[in-house]
Amino acid sequence: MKADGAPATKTFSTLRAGTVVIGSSLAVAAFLWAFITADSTIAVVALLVLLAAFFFGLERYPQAEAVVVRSFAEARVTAAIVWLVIVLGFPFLFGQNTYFLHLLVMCLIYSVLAIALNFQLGSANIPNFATGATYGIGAYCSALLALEFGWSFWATLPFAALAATLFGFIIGLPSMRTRDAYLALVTIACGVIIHQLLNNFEWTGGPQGLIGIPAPTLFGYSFASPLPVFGYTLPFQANFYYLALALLALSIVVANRLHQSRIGLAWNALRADEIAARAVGINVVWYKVLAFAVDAFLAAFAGVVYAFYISYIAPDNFTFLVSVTLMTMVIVGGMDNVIGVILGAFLLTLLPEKLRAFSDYRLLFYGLVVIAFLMIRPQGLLPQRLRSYGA
Amino acid sequence: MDEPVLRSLGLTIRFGGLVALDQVDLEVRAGEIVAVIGPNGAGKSTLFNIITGVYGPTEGRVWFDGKDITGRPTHEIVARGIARTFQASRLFADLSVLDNVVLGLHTRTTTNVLEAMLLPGRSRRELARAAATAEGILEQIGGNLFEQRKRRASELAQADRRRLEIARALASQPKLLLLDEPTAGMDDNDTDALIEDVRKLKADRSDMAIVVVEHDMRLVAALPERVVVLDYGRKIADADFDTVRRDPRVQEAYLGSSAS
Repeated sequence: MKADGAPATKTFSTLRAGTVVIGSSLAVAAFLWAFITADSTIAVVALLVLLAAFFFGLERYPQAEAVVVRSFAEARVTAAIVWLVIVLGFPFLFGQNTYFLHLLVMCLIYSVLAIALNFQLGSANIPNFATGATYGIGAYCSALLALEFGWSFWATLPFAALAATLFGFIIGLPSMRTRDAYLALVTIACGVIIHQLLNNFEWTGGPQGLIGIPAPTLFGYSFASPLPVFGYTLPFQANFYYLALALLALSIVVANRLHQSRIGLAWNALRADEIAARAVGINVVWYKVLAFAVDAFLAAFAGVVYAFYISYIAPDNFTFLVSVTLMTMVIVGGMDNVIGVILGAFLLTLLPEKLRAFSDYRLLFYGLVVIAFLMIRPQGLLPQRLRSYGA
Repeated sequence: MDEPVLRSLGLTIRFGGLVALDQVDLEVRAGEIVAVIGPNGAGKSTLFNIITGVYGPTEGRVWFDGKDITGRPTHEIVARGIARTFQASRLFADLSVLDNVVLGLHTRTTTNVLEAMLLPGRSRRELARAAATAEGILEQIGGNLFEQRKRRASELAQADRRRLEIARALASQPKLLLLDEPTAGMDDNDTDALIEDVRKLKADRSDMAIVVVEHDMRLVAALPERVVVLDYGRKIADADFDTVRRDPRVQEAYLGSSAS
């Protein structure tokens, strides 16, 4: 591929890579738009069948996946520009529909949470069922600081993250005495304890939770006011869309940087064989605790954004069920593949909303869809790929 | 005489009522190849596990490079310069062949989590350098591991898995290499190739000591300068191969008392 020095061929291959990048990116955006705005059950089912057919095809013809991956690697600048336009312009597609924008914000927040969990479940194979709890700690910590002491959103952000990271260390350390199913049990217990504490403490507002969390402001501009852009006005949810988007971008950068360092490689070694990892000199306990801490750090960020967006939080937003949902997102999306994890988060955040027509059978149908996608793509929608160095 | 690179004194470990190792004294000098042999259950792998800190001994001490390493955590012992392979090869199966060797360089790289997040260029360059070193090691090790470096380790043939495990162990530039039954599951050709590999290795790194646990007598006859025999956790012989072979206690341990 690289050996052919003829400029004509090179132009052609660049052109082809660019076309593949633009085409596939627009297709993804169009599908997402169609899925969010689909209002009839038939349309939702048809879109799910289309998605299933697409991944079925990808499973049958892995070459197609390779072409897309290579095109994105070759046309990096094009890809960056196309995606910048897509993500920045996306809210404009929904006009004044606040519900659709709300769904998007929740998709972004869950994407951040799923990436956080991916550090453990995907990279290091640590089954952590307490991500919902660290998410809650972030949310409560920032809400309390804002309500009790009048701190601004921006000031609570680092403190909430720090508090949750500390919690990550605290549940991480005792968890290290156990592994596999027992480790999962310890984290489940931690998650349940946090939920119960939030429910029973006086100062967390008990089951009613905390209300009236003030919207963030930036240079005097309140996030609760509609967003004017070039004479066009977007609903206030758009503010939080861009805020959550920035957080997701940060998470992706952190995830990529860690993945491409010796830290990510060491986590992968833990996943593959803990005894061998020890034998190459990896401090297994430290790296596991580190995975807990990084998970807690990002999950807390997501919690802060959520608290300030909804302006009302209660213990029931941070139950064990949230952790299970996050785990499903990572597994369905593709362990240790950031794009796959985001895909899983979007799919599983939107699915329950889109299946409302099934009313009582909603959860049943949801489960069936998850199982169907796992059967079509057993390694996840976008499975982990081998690393490559330099050239 | 210079200080031995590895020395153990009165090494004893009991699992409940079972005495797996009983007062084992061992000395290995720099550049020496020592074989540890003995019937099944004699305590050979247990000896490796104590040296590398997987178990702490019930009694006795281990010194490496003049320092007491008894009961230290494995990662610290590895960082000091002991590398090992496993009886049933333990590769990072879902990672590439190259990544396996890069992981062998873990103790030779330093980026911490904050540096990885804030100085991505540096951490990426460090890993790229490690990958280049790893490629060099793969080229050296023989076979065609280098050509297969981008495959998953799980896709390798048995002999190549052993080679890769040795390559991974060598990556940390150990002063002492522990090989746990490197020929297990290999046919004669592979065994000969392995003996050649180890000889070549020895020529390249003359001051690295190697301790090899082995059942294959062809390898034991061909490679080591000294053979240590364990039986029921006790050291019953420690000499060159010919002396050990004629030792009546060794014959008894291997063949039973009625044969002698």
